Amino acid sequence: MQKDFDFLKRTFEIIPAFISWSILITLLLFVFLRPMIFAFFIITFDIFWVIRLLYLSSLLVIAHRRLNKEKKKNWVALCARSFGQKWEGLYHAVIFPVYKEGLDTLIPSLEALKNTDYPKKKIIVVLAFEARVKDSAQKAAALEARYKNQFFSLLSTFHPDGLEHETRTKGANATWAAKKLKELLDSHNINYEDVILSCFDADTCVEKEYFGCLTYQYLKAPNPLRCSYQPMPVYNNNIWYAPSFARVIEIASSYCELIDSMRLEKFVTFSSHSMSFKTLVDIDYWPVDKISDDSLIYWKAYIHYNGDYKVVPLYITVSMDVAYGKNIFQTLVTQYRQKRRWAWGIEVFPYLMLEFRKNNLIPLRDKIRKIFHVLDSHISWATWALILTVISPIPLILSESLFKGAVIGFNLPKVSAVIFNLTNITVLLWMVLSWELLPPKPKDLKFIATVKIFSQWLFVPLVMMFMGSTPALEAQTRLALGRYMEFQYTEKQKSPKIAGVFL
Amino acid sequence: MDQKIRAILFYLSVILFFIFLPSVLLYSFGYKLDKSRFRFTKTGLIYVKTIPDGAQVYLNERRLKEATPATIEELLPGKYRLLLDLESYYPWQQVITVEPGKTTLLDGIVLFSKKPHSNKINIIDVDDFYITPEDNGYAYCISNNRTTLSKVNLNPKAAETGFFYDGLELPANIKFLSLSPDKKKILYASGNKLNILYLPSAKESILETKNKNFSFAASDRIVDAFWYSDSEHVICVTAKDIKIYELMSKGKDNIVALLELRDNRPKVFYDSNDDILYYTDLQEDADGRQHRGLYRLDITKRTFLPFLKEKE
Repeated sequence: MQKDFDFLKRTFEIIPAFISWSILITLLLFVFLRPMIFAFFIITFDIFWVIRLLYLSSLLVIAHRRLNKEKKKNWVALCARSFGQKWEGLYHAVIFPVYKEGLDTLIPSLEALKNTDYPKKKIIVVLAFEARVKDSAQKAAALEARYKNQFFSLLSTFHPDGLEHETRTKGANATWAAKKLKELLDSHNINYEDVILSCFDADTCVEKEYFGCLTYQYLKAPNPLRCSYQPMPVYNNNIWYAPSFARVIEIASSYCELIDSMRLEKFVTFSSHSMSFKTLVDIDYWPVDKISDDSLIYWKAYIHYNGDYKVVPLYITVSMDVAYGKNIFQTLVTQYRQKRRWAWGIEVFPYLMLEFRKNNLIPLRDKIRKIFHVLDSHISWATWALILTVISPIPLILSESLFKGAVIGFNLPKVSAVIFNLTNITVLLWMVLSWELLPPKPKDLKFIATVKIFSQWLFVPLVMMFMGSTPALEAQTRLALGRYMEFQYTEKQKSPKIAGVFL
Repeated sequence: MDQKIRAILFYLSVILFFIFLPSVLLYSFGYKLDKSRFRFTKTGLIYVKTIPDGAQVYLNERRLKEATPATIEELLPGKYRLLLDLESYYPWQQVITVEPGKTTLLDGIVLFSKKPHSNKINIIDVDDFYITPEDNGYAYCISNNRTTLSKVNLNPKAAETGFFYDGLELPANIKFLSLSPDKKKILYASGNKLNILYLPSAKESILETKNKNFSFAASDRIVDAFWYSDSEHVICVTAKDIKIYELMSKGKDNIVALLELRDNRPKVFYDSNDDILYYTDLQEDADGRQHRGLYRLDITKRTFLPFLKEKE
């Protein structure tokens, strides 16, 4: 039985990489062996891609408009008006899993919590430290001294290393902290249903209205316990100080989340997210042996509730740090590693396949759709940028020898150029939208910083070529080879100004 | 509401995809709807590029909108008369065959101007001139009265002047004029005489330079003459032999007779980069018939010295 399980698990782990590599290798073979068929495919792919890009950019515009519209609302007043005293009984618990992040990262996050317009006496903060990190106790002591009386409670937890069935992941730490939180709630006789839990990355700074918005959406949901609540992540904390190409990558990540918020059937939790504490306890917390705990928590709930679980988009931003290093090379490595970790989300595929086999209550149609969405997004991620930037140009360069004077050899570069220019229109659109998402320029920066933040979009083709597909392809290949990834801490630089304000 | 808009956008995208895809594919592979027969026909195209660009394109006497470089697409297979016309240039025309699915590339058409661009180079009274590969960009001009040799820059706009070497008595029948590799001397033949003319330099007076000039007689009718790479020897091919003359002895001593020739009208080519002489000569085979063969004579310094020793 166990052998069958292992065999199936390995098979499902191999499938994504097998599909991605098959697509790339087949295309490469077709370029040289059957250039006409390749030209047929590449034109189809280019048109599909440009129309998809225009479609997704339209969704981005709608999501962006929604974000702007909802930003202006006074959510706390709206809660009071719409739900009477019902909202006053709710508590918000916020878990910050901390690894090596220093006070320069944690203080701005706690300050943002303190500055929210939600009653602080309804907010519980859990600082989830790793016991194996040397200075965890000192950091906890410093933060407790500073914020002890600011919230309903400020709890510091220290996750012991090497617990049974655990690997060194953020999910294991968050689970340990949630169990300690459960003890705290029990000691205060607070019902789990009355607690909305947010699990934030250590560098997450919420907007002033975050908890009001979350509370409103929670109370408005027909079945609030069967939902996760996903804010829109932006990387504004240090964006003005980050290198251009790192900014482009992070803005693209924010855009992906905004676009997905419009495609609810595909929308899953990512990074910082919220849910009912009761739900978390019912589904037995986050997975403790997987890196992609942020998305797996959704899938765990989806399977636990036999498909009756969804993600509600919160059109309010939470701001995090752009990952970058001390120099361009380090930034490239940091970004690559972070994206590879995100792409490791493909570990969801074997998990889902195995869980779906056991579950007969989720309709087959839903299972197929969900599996298709997971595969589609990860396979596209691992292939499209390589197809567009590396494989597509080959026949353009070798046109004469491949097509031997055929009309297609002459027309393909022209058609490709028109399609490329059409995609540039969408880049212009992203440029304009990104300006609206940006925080004001820090006073210590000169006008040239504004010029740079616009000119960064020239990096799009390069970013696409080097960072578009390769991290995802590597993650899938590792999974296929059984070289499982361990959680890697992403080093993030704070600008001296930002760090100095709080320390 | 947003989801409704999204659904509309999605179906619109699907419709767009299915409209654009066949159209773009058919266009890319060169298919065109033949309206008379209501079916798709495979077409060909002509790509035409001229030097200079901008020529008006006429296809079967019909003027096209675009000028060169131009792509004439969706042409049904067959023959077309192509005419390219650019003002002030001679027109170009040809019958072109267009094959289905194929591109006819005409990318090297040169249109010649009706008004050639002729510029006067800054020199007057020219009787004869020589342009040698050894001194690219300059001409060596002989005056009408054949007493002056001038070196002039071939660029009409160049302000630089070379030299003006007068008081000479240059013959009328100059042949094989060439500049020495060190650009200090000129070799030319007149009749059976080889002449060495030293060129003016800043280091010495014109009189001193003139005094160094000399000429010497070749042993027979001169076929060709070349500078050896050291600029101190001259290779002379006559109807009888191939000899090397040394400048130091003014062509009187150390004359090396490299070869005797049977061919009294030999063809010669001298590779001055490698000091190799290619020549023709007659050879008699076993049955007494003469054949003309091509020979290679390596006279690089490397091979020349042992060769000279053998001769001695």
